[in-house]
Amino acid sequence: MAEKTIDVCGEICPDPLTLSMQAMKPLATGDTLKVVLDSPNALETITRWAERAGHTILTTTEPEPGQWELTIEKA
Amino acid sequence: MSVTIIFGLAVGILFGYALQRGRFCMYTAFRDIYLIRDMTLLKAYVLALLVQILVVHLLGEFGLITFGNSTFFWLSAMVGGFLFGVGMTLAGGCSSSSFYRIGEGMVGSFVAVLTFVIFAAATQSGPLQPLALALYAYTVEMGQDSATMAHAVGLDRWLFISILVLVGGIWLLWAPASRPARGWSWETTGLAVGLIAAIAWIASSYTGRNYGLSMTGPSAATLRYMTTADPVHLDWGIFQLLGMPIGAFLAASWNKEFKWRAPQPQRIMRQALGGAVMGTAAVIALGCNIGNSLTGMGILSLSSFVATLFLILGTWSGTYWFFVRPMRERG
Repeated sequence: MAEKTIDVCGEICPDPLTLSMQAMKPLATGDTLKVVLDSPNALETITRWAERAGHTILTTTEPEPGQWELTIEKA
Repeated sequence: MSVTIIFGLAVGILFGYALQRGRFCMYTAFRDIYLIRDMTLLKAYVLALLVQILVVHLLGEFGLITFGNSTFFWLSAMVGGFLFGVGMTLAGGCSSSSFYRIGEGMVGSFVAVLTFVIFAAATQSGPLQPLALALYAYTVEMGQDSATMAHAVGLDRWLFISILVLVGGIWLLWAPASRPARGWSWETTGLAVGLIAAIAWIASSYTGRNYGLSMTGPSAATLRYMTTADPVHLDWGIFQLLGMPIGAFLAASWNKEFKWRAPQPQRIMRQALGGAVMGTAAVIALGCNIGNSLTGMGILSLSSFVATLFLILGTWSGTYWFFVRPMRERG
């Protein structure tokens, strides 16, 4: 299964969300997208988008305060 | 003056704290209906509105606060509301979320707030004032305290409120919503924001200012004070504004979410433009997302209702034009 990582740290709403949507598009079912982000608002909106789209949030980690890594498996 | 400072700061700090923990942004709330078919933040907003409507009208019944307006500013509400929605899209957040995100360390939001303040002042009492005045001329006089949604549909105020609470409450209970990844749930956020908005009316009225939470007027007044040092411009609203990034900073720090962040230079300039558009539009619309969509709708203002409708249309149009269309073109 393919794994892709995008870094949207510093990006402003709605760019973290739209960049994640765009990055997910070419992936196949079962592939994973890791999103590195630092916006608390984006963490919530990307999580909600993934759930609405039927994808699976595999992990949400916090490698350092104020920065998160979301790993999403494509439905 | 000390009461004004303390009451204003206290409500502002509470408001900023709740906004940060709830990630409460009306741009996100309205945008997500269109962009990802999600209504989680919309539910928080609707709950906040229903709580505020109930509490504020009860306070009015007991004579603790007074409110009401007679004039329906239909054209300025439409034009200002739509432009404000476009401005929010460019700024990456509404006026209140731009203020609170300063407390999270977001430099771009600080820039958006600066231009919001400047252009609000420029439109309220500077070179852009003729634009606002021209639009204000188009009004409908509806009678003493009758420029309300209830009066527009011919219903008694309390019957209208009862219907709103019933329909809104059923929708809140029925529609699905996500659990938060990290912050407050929509229920906690909506309840907190609604109660703070109601408390704001009492705290502000105690100092002689007869309104609730507001961003636009206080923003323009802040610039006038900073350029004249005339204390006549200092009121409860300015200290409420000042308290917001402080409250958000406390919330972000205690939850280890504070971090200095800045986007690419071009995006910062877009945020600056967005703040400017929001500032001008908010004066035209006689309020921003807080002044109209929360406080104004809280007293059932018809002008605020129309401004909010067009704010939503502006948000969707701006999101399509500046984000969805380019995304589709990139494939």
